[in-house]
Amino acid sequence: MEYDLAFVMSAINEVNESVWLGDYKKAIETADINLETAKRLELIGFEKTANEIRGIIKQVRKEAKQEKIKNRRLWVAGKVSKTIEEKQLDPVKNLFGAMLIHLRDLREAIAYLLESKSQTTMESYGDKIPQEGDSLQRTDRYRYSIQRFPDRWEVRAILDIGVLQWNVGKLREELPGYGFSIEEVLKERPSRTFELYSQEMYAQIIGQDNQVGISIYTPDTPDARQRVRKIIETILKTLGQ
Amino acid sequence: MLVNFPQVEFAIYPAVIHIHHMTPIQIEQQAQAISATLQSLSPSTSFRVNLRLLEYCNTRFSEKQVKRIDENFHDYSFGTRFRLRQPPQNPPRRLRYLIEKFFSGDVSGDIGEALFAYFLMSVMNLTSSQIGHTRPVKRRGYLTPDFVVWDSSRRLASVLQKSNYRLPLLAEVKAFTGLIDPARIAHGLAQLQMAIANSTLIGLLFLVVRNEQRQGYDVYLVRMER
Repeated sequence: MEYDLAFVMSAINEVNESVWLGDYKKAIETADINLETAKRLELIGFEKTANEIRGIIKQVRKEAKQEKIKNRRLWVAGKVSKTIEEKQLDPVKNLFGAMLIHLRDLREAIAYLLESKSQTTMESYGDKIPQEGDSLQRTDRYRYSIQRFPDRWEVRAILDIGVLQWNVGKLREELPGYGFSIEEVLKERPSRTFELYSQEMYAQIIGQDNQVGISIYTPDTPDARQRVRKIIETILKTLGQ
Repeated sequence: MLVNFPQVEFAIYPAVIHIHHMTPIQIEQQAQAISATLQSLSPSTSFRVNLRLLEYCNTRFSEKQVKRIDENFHDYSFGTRFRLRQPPQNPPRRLRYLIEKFFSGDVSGDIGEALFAYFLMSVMNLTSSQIGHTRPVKRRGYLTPDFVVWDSSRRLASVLQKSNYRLPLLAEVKAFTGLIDPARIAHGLAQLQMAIANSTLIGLLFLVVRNEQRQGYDVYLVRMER
């Protein structure tokens, strides 16, 4: 039963990862697949338990307010846990029911965002028309998106491999081509952090599991965007080799 | 290059708290006892904090939208409070100028949550997909803890001092940059009392406390069972 249910949490995390990247379509796809699995496993009953406990909490809170109980939060907790025991409600069902509800709501919110985004006209963007290349980029090995901040470029990427499989040796070979020297800040088991220095640029790479965050500080020259994109693609390609 | 990694000390509260029949008064007393004992506990281990990774944990696992937790962590650890400018004139009678900023509870809370995720990933070797932040559901009135930990490889066995335990682990995180407030510890215990009721699940109260003497954060793990 434990392994059957862990997927709900992984699904929420996966959806959040895609949202982090700006890949809303993938987020909806992931939510749909997992909600379908939940339906197939007949986990919908879990939502009933979650809603029943939510109703109990609401009722007990109301009582505590009416009776002007002094330490309301502790009193409510005592009474709710007693009711859960009496009614023999399963806290695991409650938890996963609540998470399923969250997953469904998350899916709805993203779909709504996507829909409203697709209805946005170029006029309503005004001077904020996204520049070419800001959108999500996909290859079969990685997905990434770039955001421009006043002082830096921020990249979020998801690779098809985890940090432990990174080809760091290759990275050390490739990056001097851009004038970078590389220092590893701290090597920890599931993560790696690098700092890259060159005459004109500074960058940080942080990897955790299959996610990569890259910050690049570079002079604002006309070809900056192109340069950043080239560096990012080299880094992502190299790490995955 | 970053060379100065802040050190965090970690200790386990020795007793497992059995919360089943506890009344509100008993929970309050238990919270008082935890609060009084914490700083006399000797740390079982310590770990260095890679601030870049802490910022990553902040963006992925903390509830509030606070950026640059790496810089805040540094200032909050040292207890550095920024001073404000004051006009040369004396303030009006019975009024005082604000001369130093106060630490923010939201930032402190973010430090706690980011440090919890950091501890699980960097010290206990869990992956990010094994940690679920269930706070959004809690805010909507559902009964959930702050975090759900799906430790399928039983990597927390050493800190739980148990080789076999039921999943998921349910965790509440409380952070204190100023004085430890036993009432907040009691709230954490009460939330877990509800969340693990009628089950054999384990509740974890993760307390992040600033150590004035050491000018850094200490973390404490309190284990709870029904």
